[in-house]
Amino acid sequence: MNPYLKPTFLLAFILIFQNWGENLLGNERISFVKQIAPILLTRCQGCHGSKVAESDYRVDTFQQVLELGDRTPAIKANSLDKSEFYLRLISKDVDHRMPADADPLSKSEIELFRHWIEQGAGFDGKDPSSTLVELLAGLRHPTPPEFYPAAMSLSALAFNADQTRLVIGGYHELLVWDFAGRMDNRIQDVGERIYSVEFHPTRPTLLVASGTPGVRGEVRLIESQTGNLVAILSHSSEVILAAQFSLDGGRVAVGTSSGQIQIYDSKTHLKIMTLAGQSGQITSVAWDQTGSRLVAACQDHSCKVFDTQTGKVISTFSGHAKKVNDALFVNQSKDVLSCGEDGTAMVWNPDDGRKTRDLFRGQESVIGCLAVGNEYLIATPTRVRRFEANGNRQVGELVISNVSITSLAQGAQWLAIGGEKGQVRLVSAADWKTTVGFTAVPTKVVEIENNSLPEDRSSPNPVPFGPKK
Amino acid sequence: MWKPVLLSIGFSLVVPLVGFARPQADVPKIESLSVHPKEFRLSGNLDRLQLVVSGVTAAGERVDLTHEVVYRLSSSIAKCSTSGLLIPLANGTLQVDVLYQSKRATSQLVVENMASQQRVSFHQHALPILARSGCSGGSCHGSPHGKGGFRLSLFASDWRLDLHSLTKDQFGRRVNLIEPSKSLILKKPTMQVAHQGGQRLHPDSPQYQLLADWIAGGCEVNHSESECVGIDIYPGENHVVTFPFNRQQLSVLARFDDGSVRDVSHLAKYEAAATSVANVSQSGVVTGLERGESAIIIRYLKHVVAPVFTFVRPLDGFRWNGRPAANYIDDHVYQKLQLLQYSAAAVCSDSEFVRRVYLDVIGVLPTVDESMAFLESNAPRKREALIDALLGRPEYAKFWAQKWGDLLRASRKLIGAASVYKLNNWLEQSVGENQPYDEFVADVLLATGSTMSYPAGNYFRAAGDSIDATETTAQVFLGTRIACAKCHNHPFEKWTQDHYYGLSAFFHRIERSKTDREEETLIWSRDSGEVKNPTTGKVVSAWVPVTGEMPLKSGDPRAGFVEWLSRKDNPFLARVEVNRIWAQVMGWGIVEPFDDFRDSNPPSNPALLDALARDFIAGGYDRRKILRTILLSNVYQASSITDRFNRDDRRYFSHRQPKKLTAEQLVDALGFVTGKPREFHGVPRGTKATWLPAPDLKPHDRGKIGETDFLKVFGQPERQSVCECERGDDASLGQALQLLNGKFLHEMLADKQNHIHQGLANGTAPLELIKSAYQRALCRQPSSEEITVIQRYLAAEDNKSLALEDVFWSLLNRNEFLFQH
Repeated sequence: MNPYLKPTFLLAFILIFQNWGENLLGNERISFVKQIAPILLTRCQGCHGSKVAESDYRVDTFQQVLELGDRTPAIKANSLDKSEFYLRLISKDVDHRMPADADPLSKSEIELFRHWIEQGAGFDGKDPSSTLVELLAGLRHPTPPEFYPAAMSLSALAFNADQTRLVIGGYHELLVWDFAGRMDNRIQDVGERIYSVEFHPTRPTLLVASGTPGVRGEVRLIESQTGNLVAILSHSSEVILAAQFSLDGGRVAVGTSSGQIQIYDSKTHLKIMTLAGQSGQITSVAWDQTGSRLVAACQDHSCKVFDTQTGKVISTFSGHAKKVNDALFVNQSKDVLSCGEDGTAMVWNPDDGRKTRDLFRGQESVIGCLAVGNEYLIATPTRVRRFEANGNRQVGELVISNVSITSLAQGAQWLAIGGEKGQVRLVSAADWKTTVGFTAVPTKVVEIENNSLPEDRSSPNPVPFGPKK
Repeated sequence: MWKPVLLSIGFSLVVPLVGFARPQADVPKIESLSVHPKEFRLSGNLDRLQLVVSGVTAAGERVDLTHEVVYRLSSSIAKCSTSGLLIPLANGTLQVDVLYQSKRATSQLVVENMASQQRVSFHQHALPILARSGCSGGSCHGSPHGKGGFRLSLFASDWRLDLHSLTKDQFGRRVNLIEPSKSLILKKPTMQVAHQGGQRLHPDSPQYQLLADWIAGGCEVNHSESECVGIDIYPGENHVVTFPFNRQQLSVLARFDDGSVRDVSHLAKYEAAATSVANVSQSGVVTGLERGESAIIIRYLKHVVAPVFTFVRPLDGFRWNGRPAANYIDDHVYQKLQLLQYSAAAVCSDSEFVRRVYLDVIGVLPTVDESMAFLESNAPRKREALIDALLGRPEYAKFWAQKWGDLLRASRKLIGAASVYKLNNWLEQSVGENQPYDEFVADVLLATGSTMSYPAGNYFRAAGDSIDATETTAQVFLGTRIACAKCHNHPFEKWTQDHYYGLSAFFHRIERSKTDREEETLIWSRDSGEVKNPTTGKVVSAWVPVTGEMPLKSGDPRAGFVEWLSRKDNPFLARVEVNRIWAQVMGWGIVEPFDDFRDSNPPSNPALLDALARDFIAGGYDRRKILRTILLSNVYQASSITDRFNRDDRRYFSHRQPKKLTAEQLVDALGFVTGKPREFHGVPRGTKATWLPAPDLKPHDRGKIGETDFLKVFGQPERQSVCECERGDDASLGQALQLLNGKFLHEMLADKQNHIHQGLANGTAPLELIKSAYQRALCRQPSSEEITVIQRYLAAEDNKSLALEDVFWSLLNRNEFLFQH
């Protein structure tokens, strides 16, 4: 205690302090997970994380937050003036204050830290060595607005098992639409943007890859009927674009932003293995017919084929000059078809990574490709081109006026095309004519909008998918 | 347990007080008050107007009062902040009264088009905001590969790329149309999400709001908007800021092609060229940090202007030590020094002068006889007489021809040995005969025919294609480095990519045909041929700076370029050459680096540069005459001794800046002082290093890889680039090692034929040898103190010749020898 201060002064200070604290925060306990971790993640981890660790201090986990290294505490429970962390937040010396070169934390944020430290700097999560992202992954996502003020670019869609509904990526939700353009379900508690949706081949389970750009990403299994969470398989500090069930539904492959491929058991939800070899965001993962191999397309311009038993790289394809957007096994898994921002689609051998042939070369980025029957479909923002699977001949193309194409999904009878302004077009794979069209945006005037698009409803009776020859 | 409580309380009590603790500067007494602009039209709710208020003191100094005056508005159709920023609220007219002390100034405003909400413009608002915040800067997302996967064009030069990156790339991750404030493009620069680039925007700033509104409006792009044709800065060129009132609010008005004028002060990007002299805040407030000058670079869209501001700080005890001017050079330099309160150094001693002028004019040190004759002469104008004598000597032509050899890249590697000799002879002849500079330039740039008969044509062999010829010509004759504009619009200048290719159109038709004779090339011009901009794919018209487009006729386009270059009013030819001559002898250009003329690198004394250029042109582009004028000035002859008022001056020529001998000068000087000159391969015996026609005449010897070349270590350029920076003038460890215990110097000192050993063999007293060495090395006699030390050393050593070598060695390692001062 400072001998120069009289006890009466101290008493006055304590009274002021107590009043003030109660006014701002009451007596509630501060939650590290809910209140402290989000601030650490957004304001601190950019410079004190795994990519950059200024002064060797990292805030990746609760344990790390407390220590400065050399066993010096960054935060000492109940002791603000021994907590360098706190002293840095309130420093009046701009060169000393944290966050560096930025606005200080708000008064209320600083108060949160003060109370949390004074309450003993406790941890309310399960595992103090969990990363902040892991801690936050368990939190519920924000609720989306009932009506959207603008259309969202459609980055993911999937047909349900009986081919009567489309599940479409919305804003912090999945939107379930029937083919008449009516929305009949909304599944919430997912990331801000949905990058991949897929139904389990036999169970009513959805595999959803989503994320909030620059903040977090995750892969969830969700019950498609109830919308209930089955499991969170993977989470990271950046969005996840790629997730796919194996053909038998037994396993899930996830491609992360840092170039990792994770394989999970779809029943136990346990991670089976992690494959690494690429150095950018994985844009797509695809299994072969037997589930023994995986192909991953990556923004580092490469594709890699992995052996899913040994985890070894079988081949690397480096024929693309820019980011690769999509890759899948075709031709009884004897070939891989890949496409990318360089405007090309190529067929190559998964055994040695050698190119077999150029399927297509154009000016626009090729956003996705599919194998349907005896044809390969190549999508660019302006059209979907159809090629003979065993030749290079283009046999047709679908141009959808005023729609900038952003995604594709394949159903038993239909091809679904998603557009930049939320447009959905269903095309019969029998005669390749547009049969249904609607805009998948929850708005008050959704009916009127549909009526204003009569040309997209020219064939009210969906034409069934013809028998394969 | 008490401490934390105390600490936090103490903190919370102190914080509110900080706001009141602002130091009050002295209030300036003013004679008159004015406001800029005097009238203005605000159109729409997004328009803003930054007023700038100036007072003039009794002493005639202009003081910025924008943040100190009271603003009184005649109606409530707008509001005005204490810093003079007007925000429109409703249609109508308005008078703003600006009040300070007993003075008043007024501005008449009209506000219109407030009925409907104006849409935020991608081109006019969003892109400039990304540029001013640094996002699209060259070291951040504007770099060719972007940063962190996010790429923008450099300072928004390619809006299509920027629009794609912002709204479409990576599934449109950077904008959030549902909740605009959650857009990554807003969360990152405000540090709501970890951002390597740090905080670039404040969430409560108008710039943030504009970006957010643009996203909320659906990221629209309107292509039918009016286009900005230019920007005007207030206050503009030659503004003087006098301490302690060292702040100046700027106003930036943009003119559009529909005739409208809008205030873009809140959208422009600000930068100070000399960051030690001034800084500029994002809100356009210039703050002087110390006396001196700085260009203030202001950018809005593709428009860049860079007015030069002068910062004057009255110094205690400063009284101008006025000296009589020897010629107009002194007038201009002294005027600048007086304004900035730098004192002028006294004129140097005769001994300093004789050494200095020999090295500068003919590259070598004077002989003992020459320096003694000068020092002992009592002739009234002996310095002038010496200058004239040196300018008439053949070594002058040889030494200055070598400088041109550097610029024209005369090297065996680029043009071959035979061509090197021919080109060097031609250069020596041109300098020796004092060929007028405009004729010399025409000889080089219009060279046609066999390079064996017309050696100047080797210029187009060293510059082997139209790209090289464009960049080389721009750098050597326009003093401009334009290589940046090859791939994109110049980041700091108004050079665009079209300009670059427009300039290259003059050199595009040149053909270089080999003949059967080794090294011989025929330089000729095709009659037609056009240049395309590789980005747009469009044919560009021939273009020159300032004048603009110059349509090509059939035939050799170089003629048109040279005609333009040698016009009397051409702003480049004379200024670049006089600056280069100045820099050669002063060690520092009026524009420095002396081949880097640009708005953001202004001359330290524009009046001096203009006067020299005028004199040069009036004298018929007489290089020798302009050099003579410089050498005769007191500024050239100033001492290197400083006082407290000019010690920190590096730019304004208040005193002589000691400069290191060049590699060639040093090699000659070492040979001269020791009496064992170095011999060179491929040139007649007795050829000095300062006369060498090329740096690479000696064939490459594979057996001697790793042998260090003394000349190279001391910065002799290889002549692979026209950049003056190729001549290294930095001191290096290699140089120190060479001088301390290098083989080169050791062999010179140990050689039995040198002055030491020959002198001892002839029976000359060691002290006499030392005295003449001092005279050769330093143009002076050793002081009695130096003699005492030397004699004590010699007496203690048994081996007299070795001891004498040591004394020479120590002399040659002195800064007084290694520098010209």
